[in-house]
Amino acid sequence: MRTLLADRLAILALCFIATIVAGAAGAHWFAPFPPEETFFDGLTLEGAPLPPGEKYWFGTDLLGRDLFSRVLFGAQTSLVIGLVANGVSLLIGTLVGIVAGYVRGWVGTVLMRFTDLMMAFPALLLAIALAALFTPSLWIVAMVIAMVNWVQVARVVYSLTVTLSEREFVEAVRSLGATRTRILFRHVLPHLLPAIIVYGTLGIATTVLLEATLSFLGIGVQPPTPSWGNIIFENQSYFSTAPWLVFIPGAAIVLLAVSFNILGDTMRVALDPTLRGRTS
Amino acid sequence: MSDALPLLEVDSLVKTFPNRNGRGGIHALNRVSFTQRRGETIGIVGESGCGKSTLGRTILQLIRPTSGDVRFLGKQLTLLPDEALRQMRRHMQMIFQDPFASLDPRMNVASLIAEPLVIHRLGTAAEQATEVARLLETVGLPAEAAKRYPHEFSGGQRQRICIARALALHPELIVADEPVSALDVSIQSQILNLLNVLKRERGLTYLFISHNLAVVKYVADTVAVMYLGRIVEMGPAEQIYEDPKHPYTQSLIAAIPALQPGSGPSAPPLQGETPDPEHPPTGCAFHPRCPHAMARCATEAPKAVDIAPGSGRHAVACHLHD
Repeated sequence: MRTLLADRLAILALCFIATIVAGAAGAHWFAPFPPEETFFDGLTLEGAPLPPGEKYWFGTDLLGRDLFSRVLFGAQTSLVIGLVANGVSLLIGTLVGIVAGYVRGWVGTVLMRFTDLMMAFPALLLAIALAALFTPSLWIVAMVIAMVNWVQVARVVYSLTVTLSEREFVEAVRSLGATRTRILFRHVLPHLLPAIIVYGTLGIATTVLLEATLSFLGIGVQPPTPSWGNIIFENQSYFSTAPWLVFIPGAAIVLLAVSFNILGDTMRVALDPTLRGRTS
Repeated sequence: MSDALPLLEVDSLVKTFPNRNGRGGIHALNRVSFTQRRGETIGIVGESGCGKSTLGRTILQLIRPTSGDVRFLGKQLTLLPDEALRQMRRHMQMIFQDPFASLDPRMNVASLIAEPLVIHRLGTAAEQATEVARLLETVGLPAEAAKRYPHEFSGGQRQRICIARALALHPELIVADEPVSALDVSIQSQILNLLNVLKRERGLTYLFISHNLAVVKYVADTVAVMYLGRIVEMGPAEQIYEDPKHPYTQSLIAAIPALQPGSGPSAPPLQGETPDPEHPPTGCAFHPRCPHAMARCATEAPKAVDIAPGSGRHAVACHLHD
């Protein structure tokens, strides 16, 4: 019963993610208007943005641009940030954490002290410094976010790896004559997957919002290119008079993050043989 | 069965676990020496904390010793580089105490048992599958167990899985570290029987570690009694059980519950606690608890003395037998 409900939720989440991905990929065809065009009839006579209506489905923003089109195009940016930047930071964090946790010795010490250093350093300051070195573009911003975000993953993976490598089954596999690589990839990594999945799904919201912060500071994705984050930041001063400008992209971020969370949870359960057939 | 050359030679093995501050530490093993012939089952007994598990792990080099030598199949294990040692592991396997903790919960039984074959690249996938089926039959598990996961089995069945995995490589030596201690008493005898049958059929050599003298009596040809990191007495099982020489062995044997009513313990029960291994007593480590302690026991550590001249198979480290 519970699994059935969980499966339905997972299917729903998958549908939502698929819709967003399709919308982002086909933004050129689906968007009713160019996302950067300001419309004369997009603002009231007093210059206020229009609420959602027949012509502008999601309303218009403070410059009189069509919000629906901007959200569609913004999905491209936000997906790249949420998936690529987040994916790269998971990869780096997992690699650093697992090596430091299993090899230990001076290699582990150097890696973890470096991680601590990165952690103590204000992430935003680092991002600003990195962004100043390179001309901001979508991919540079994604890499900057990855560089800032991997530390937490490394910490979690490190402590889990330390605990796991003390477990008896790891010693047992070692006594069989397994190589380090085999122990790490066949016996330690599979046990880390649940934590990595949870961290990855949480990271989607974090990275999308970090990109928004960078955009707000002028070092993120450059306007007028829309991203869900910079739509919110551009329009936040209109929150009381035009709440849809913040609410709609905000809801999109939340729904995307929740969908990935649900999907991640389903995957976690499906990957764990000890949970199989227990919930029915 | 008995070859001229011993299968395993342990010489003056020392393992010290250092303290946090780097000074002193716990002397888990203190100059342990013995030899084991092919086909001989040696039982290592002693209270918890006496170093018997450390001994097993140090012999297999799962823990590297502080000093001393382990010679196995003519090779000095302590000197082998990592890769050569990894290759040697084919010939020496271990069965652990907790059969659930020692099996990766995310692997099914087929991949668990096939893993040693995969690691050492023995046979094709199809040959490995037939070997797994054969091993399952050998240890008395149904063929359909292959597709299932460790948590679906009882403790005894899991230990059978561990035994099948240890057998997969046809090892020369199997170190069994308390293999039945985590099991129900009714299951213990089944597993012990299985181990005995396998020994007969396959000519296995066991190093059998246990705190339970009754269990060791059932499997061992030779018994070594450990106290605080040292072997205090070692000899043929029947001699150790019938006529123990060391006062510590005597109290251990006397503490085995007797089946016949009226036949009470023949020696007084042990007094006091095991001493702190970080600060072992001077002289003979057993002297504070020994009913026969003399003045020299507190100052002078006894050496192992052969008390069965000629056979060289019964040694005692006690001043009573100097």
